[in-house]
Amino acid sequence: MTWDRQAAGAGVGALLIAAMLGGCNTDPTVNKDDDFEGMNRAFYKFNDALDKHIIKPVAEEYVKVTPQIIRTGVTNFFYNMDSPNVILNDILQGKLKQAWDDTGRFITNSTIGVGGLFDPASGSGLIRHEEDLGQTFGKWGMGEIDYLVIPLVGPNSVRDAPDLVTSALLSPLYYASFVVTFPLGALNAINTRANLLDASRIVEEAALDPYSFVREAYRQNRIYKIYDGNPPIKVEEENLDTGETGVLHVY
Amino acid sequence: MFKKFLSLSLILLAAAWFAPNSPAAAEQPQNEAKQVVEKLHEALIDVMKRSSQLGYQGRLENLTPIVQKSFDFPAIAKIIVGRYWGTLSDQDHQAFLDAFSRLSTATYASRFDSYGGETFRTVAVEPQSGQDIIVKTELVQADGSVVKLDYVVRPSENGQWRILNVIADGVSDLSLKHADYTAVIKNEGYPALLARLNDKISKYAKPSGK
Repeated sequence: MTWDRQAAGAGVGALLIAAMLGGCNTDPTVNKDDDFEGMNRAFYKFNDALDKHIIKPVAEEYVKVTPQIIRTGVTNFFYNMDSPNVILNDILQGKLKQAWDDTGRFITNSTIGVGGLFDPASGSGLIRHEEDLGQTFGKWGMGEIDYLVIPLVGPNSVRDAPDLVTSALLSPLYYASFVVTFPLGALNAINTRANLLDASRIVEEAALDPYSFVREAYRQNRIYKIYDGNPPIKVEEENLDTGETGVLHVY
Repeated sequence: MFKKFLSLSLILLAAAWFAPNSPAAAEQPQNEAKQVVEKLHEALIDVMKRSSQLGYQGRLENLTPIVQKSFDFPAIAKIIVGRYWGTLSDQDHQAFLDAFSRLSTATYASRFDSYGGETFRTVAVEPQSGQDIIVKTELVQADGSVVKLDYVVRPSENGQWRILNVIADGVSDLSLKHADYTAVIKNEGYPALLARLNDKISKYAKPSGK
């Protein structure tokens, strides 16, 4: 049994290393093609239908019946639960000052902030940082490798997906009983979706091909986060004469 | 000794004479680029403040001249359509340009439909290599939350400073539209793209009572 676990661990490790080596020479600002477009579009369609018929209506109802102050508290609570993952990735990216600040933030909000429902830390200058394992890999120079749409999760990539596991394992909620974890997980999903209602309205209004629109927005948002809000600005127009397939980057 | 002093003073004098001039000359395009963005922002705030009395149609009429004047639509259209541009006729180019610029104005008229104390502020004006100038601005909402809006401004074909791209919190409008629109051309063809654009415009024109 122990051996199996070790083997599994080694397997995952080897895959990660292979992925990293494969991605090492890739510029994180270069948007690649979409090798799994067929599968991705199918999952996108599935997620979209699920969202349209169940998740979005529930989120809209939730916004109607819950005052803003409660929703802010819920958002704060789940942000606080993400803190250990943020701190680990601060360290992995060599941002030690930020790791120290985020630790102070986690302690402050967990205690004075009543288990994270309030955010007194932001008031005292310890603002929230968004870090995850995908950003760490990006910071280390890895490209996205391949764009992925994951059922129930949404837009993602080979580089970013491992964070789904580490962020879950590093959330204190993971170690609570299932009786607590399950309803809280559902609340987190609905609250997160509620926070995205404006963004999804823009997609609905503006996108001609929502799949392509969301993919591009996801990729750019990831680059923005990898570079902590200051991505290199590139203006590379496609070569109109040769019809080169090179993708346009304008950041 | 005195000679040295004299020449030094002369040099200083000369420097003092020229110093205020040269940076000002360099700042000229930066000011023009900044003006383009700030005039657009002023118009948006004005329309937001009068949004309910204007209604969608009124906002559209107010914004059309300023939006048309602020953006370099011919350059934008070429970049968005990308490698398909060369495969289209002049007539197609004109039809796309027309639909796209109308859709852009309609989008502004539809989104800036209320005023809740928002303000725009210019944070920095940064010349890039080549002729591009990035005007970094922020849209500050009443609750203090900030949307970063970076404008890429460059001279158009006839030498006017025009906005080429808007980057909102790191997401480039130009790349987004390029990805979105070329996917439609690739999968469904150019006529489908044009039909979708016109469909969007008419949807904005009859929103839920706004």
